[in-house]
Amino acid sequence: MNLVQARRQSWNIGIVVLVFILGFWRINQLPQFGAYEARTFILGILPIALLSMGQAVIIIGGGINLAIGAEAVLINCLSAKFMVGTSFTTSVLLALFFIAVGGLIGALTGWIVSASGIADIVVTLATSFLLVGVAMFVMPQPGGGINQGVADLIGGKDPNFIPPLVWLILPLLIIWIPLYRSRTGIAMYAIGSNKDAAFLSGVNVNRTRIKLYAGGGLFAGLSGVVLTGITLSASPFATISNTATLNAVAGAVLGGVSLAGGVGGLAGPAMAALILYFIPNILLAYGIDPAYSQIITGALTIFVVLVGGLLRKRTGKS
Amino acid sequence: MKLTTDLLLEINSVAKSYGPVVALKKANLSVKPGEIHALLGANGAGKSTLVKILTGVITSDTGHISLHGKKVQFSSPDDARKNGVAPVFQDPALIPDVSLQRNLALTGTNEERFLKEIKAMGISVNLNEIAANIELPTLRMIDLARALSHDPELLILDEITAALPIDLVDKVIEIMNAQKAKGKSVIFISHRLAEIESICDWATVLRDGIDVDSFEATRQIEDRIVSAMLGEKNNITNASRKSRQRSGESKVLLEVVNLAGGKNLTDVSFEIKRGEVLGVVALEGQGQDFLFEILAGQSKPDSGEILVNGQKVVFKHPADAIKLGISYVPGDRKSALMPQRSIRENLALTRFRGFKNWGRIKGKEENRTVDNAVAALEIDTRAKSQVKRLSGGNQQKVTIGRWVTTGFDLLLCFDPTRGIDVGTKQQIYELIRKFADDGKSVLLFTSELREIQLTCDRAIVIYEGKVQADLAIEKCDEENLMNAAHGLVASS
Amino acid sequence: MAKVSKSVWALIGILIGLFLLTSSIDPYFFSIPAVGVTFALAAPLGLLAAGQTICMLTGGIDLSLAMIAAGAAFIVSVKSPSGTLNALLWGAFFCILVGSINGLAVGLFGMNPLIMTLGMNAVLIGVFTVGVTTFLKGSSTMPEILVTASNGTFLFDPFSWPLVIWAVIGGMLLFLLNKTGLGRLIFAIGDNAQAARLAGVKVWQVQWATYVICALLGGIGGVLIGGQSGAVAISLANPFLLPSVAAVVIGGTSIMGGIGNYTGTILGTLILTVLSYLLATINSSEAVKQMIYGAIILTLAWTYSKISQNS
Repeated sequence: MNLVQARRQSWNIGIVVLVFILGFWRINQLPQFGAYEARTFILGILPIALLSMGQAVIIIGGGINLAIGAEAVLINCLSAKFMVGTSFTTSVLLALFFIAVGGLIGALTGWIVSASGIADIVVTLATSFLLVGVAMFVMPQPGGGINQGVADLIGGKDPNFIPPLVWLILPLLIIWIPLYRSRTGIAMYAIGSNKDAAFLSGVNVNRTRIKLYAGGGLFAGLSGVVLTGITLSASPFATISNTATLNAVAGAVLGGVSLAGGVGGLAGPAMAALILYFIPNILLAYGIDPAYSQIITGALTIFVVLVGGLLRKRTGKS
Repeated sequence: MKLTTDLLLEINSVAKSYGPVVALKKANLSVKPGEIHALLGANGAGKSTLVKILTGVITSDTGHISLHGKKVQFSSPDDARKNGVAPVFQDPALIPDVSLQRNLALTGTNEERFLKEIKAMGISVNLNEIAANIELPTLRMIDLARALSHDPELLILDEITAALPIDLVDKVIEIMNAQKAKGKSVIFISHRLAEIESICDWATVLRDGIDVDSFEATRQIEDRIVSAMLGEKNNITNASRKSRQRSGESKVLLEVVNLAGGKNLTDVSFEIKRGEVLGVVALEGQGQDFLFEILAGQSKPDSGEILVNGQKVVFKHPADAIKLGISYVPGDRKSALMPQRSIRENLALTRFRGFKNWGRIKGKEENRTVDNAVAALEIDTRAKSQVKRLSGGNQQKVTIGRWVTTGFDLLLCFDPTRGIDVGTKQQIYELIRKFADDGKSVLLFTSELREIQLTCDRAIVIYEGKVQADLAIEKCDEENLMNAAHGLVASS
Repeated sequence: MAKVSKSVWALIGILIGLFLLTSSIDPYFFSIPAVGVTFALAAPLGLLAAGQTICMLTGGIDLSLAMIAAGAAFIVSVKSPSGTLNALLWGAFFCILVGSINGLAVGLFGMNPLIMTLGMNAVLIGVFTVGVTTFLKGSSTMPEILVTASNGTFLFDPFSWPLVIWAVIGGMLLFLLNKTGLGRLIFAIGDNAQAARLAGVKVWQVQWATYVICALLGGIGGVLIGGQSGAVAISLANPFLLPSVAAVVIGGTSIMGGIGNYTGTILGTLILTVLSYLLATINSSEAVKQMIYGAIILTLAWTYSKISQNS
């Protein structure tokens, strides 16, 4: 195991420990813990976990997508609008279609970054407005729907928690792991680590970047469709998309992905989403104002990144 | 005259301009199979542009390149590598955060072949190690081993010997000769004239974007190379040898006692007098860079003392050292300059160190000091707006110039002439001597041993963490220094 | 320097073009009182964007600026019974405190500004949400004098108090950036912080000052917003956050740091303000407004990028 893997494993271990502590705490608060409660957990974190994973992919490749929440909201609105009153098959096909659309929007974003030479932050700042605008255009008021069968397929029929669990783990297994091992995956880490060295190593930086944002967009599309399946509707608000984006960044960063690029994986952010979910729920059970959970989450993110940065300085990396 | 049919590589009338800036006017180059070909030229002459075009990093405006008589145009270094042209750039093209193994996978390099090559160099590597944790000389050799794994017909070494320890330089020479014996060729770029003479078969000199001279590299070609590179100016061997008469004993400015720290320094002690240029000689990785960082206030030593004017000092920040008159010219220009800001802002930066300088800028005074520095260093101010547009030599002058505006007692120069053209090197030598004549001190580390005798009054040699020798200038011939650097102290 | 002037002229051209376009649709706009109102409404955004400008010049960003602005307004209104000056001092103290935490985290601990200010934003939301019902209970309106300062006419149209305040502070900021040592250092650490350190600059001090000044500018902006909207709420300044970044980007300052200036931001602010008025006038839906916003940022940023690539 090399140093890179060692560092990532120790970070992941830290997160798992924290998840277990918070998890036990939360479970203890509940009168009982069974399949129903497990399903509630997973449904609670699934959209944001997927979004954090998507953001993680992009940050690893040296970018950042301030519009990833908007992408998910847009796919949410599109899918909810067109899946109303459709058959099972149609809904499934539409779901797959819109996930692909998410990837396409991501690819377009990546293309704009490459073609224009503008910094990722600025491009995605602009696209966050554009995509929210399109979402509002598609669905001016909250509404929409989805075939119930597909919704059950996504969210699992109460109290079946296996389907959402599958949707949490499957993307990791069939999208991320093959990608990580492939040359494209190495190329993504390469452009996140050092673009010049990547180019000299034969990486087509622009093409890799497009694939990078497409990958992130796929996860955003997944998140949007999952949201439709869970809430059976869509709401096109800028505040929701901005909050989601920032939570996705927090999730990625808590999950061990370095904002400098080239470092981290996707398992960490998925688990970090659990942490961000448990904290407000634990506090709520004690009757503590949910505003305090905001404070704790914010402070926790700062603390974790601070410690991570200091540790990295100690091991000699700048 | 070379017959076209024989040639491995032919570069024909290649030109490249960046807007109004002409990087290459009309460059020609031809390389036979089994030839070690030196490519020489001042910074700004077009060398790096030519190499970038040849290896597919950029495309030329006009002209063409032929391999074995067939026209080629590479779209990327990867494309070049696949066609038998393998570049090894100055900055190793390895991804820092990624393991060696994944780096090799990225470039489609056969792991077995790579391990064979790296073992033949006498270097051991852990494929799971990330590139960022490997030190630069080893990384360079890894990059070379990787290039060799692709069995290149033409190997291009861009200043590989700069910053390599002497034993690895020998290895590189061995490899070049081995390639030659196999009928393969090497384009060797270096500023070290001694190496060119001993290794290369043919030499081409670029000046102002044109190949001005191309000749067989027999003995005593140094003058021909220099005159081709400089044009009219040809006084590198003469001008710097001014008489150095120090009148009487001068005071000790800086004293280092039992300094230890970093990975290598164990017990370093020496002193520098006022008005003295003290050279530092060491093989790569002996801790000399850390020594300079300690004295600059950038890094902390583990133990030992530093005394300035007899008083013990502890530096917590470069500002502390600067306050005591110790200024640092780093070896890496990127860490000293602000690329998007003007020459003026870069030169004046050092004036804004403390709180009290946060207020209104005194424009006239600043102009005066900046103009002084520009004149004293003969900085070419054509590119007035942004420092990133200057040539390497001019950038180095700005790095030194910042301290001319502020004033200093001791200037720490770490390899200031690395990668600089011959003409500017000469100017920097003369500048260092002038500082000494004005009563300032200079601590100079250089990897080019001939520079010691050209510029210094004394030299210390660091080996295995200690100062192995403290030599007066008469004893500083290259052979003596080389021996001492390897720990073989000469008997006087 | 020549590069900046060219883009400044282009921005002025765009601003005038937008102004004429809006006037053609709403003739009332083509009048001195309307221009005055535009400037008055632009002032708060101009101040928040000023804060973002200096953060971005150092290569950073302040995503907590909206909460700092709202928080300052809140504190000023709650403390106003004990005297306006006292209330303003409390507000300033708050800004300096938050700005210091941000600045020291970035400067001393090397925290990424995006994450730090993101976290600070969350913390501030939480603190004020709790505070509204507990230790920050009190008046939710601005004292009389500040309301005047946020709206009133200054001598005669089109000059107004907010415009004067913006102009004075803007002038001070321009002086800071172009004619003082601190200004040089802000550009320097944005361009190459390591080089600055080796030249003896205490980079963390400059970072600290940057985020404190940013927070103070945000606080003043927040007070103006509070005065203009009548009542103070936590979400008061949220609609100004992303536009404050947008105004800086439109104005030509690079988000990577080291290059740019406040003049561009001023024009960017005015452009966005006139644009808002235009979109409101043609009764466009929220969807269209969002899309046009995004399109403008993208177009201008792309143009700047192409200009700097070609030179």
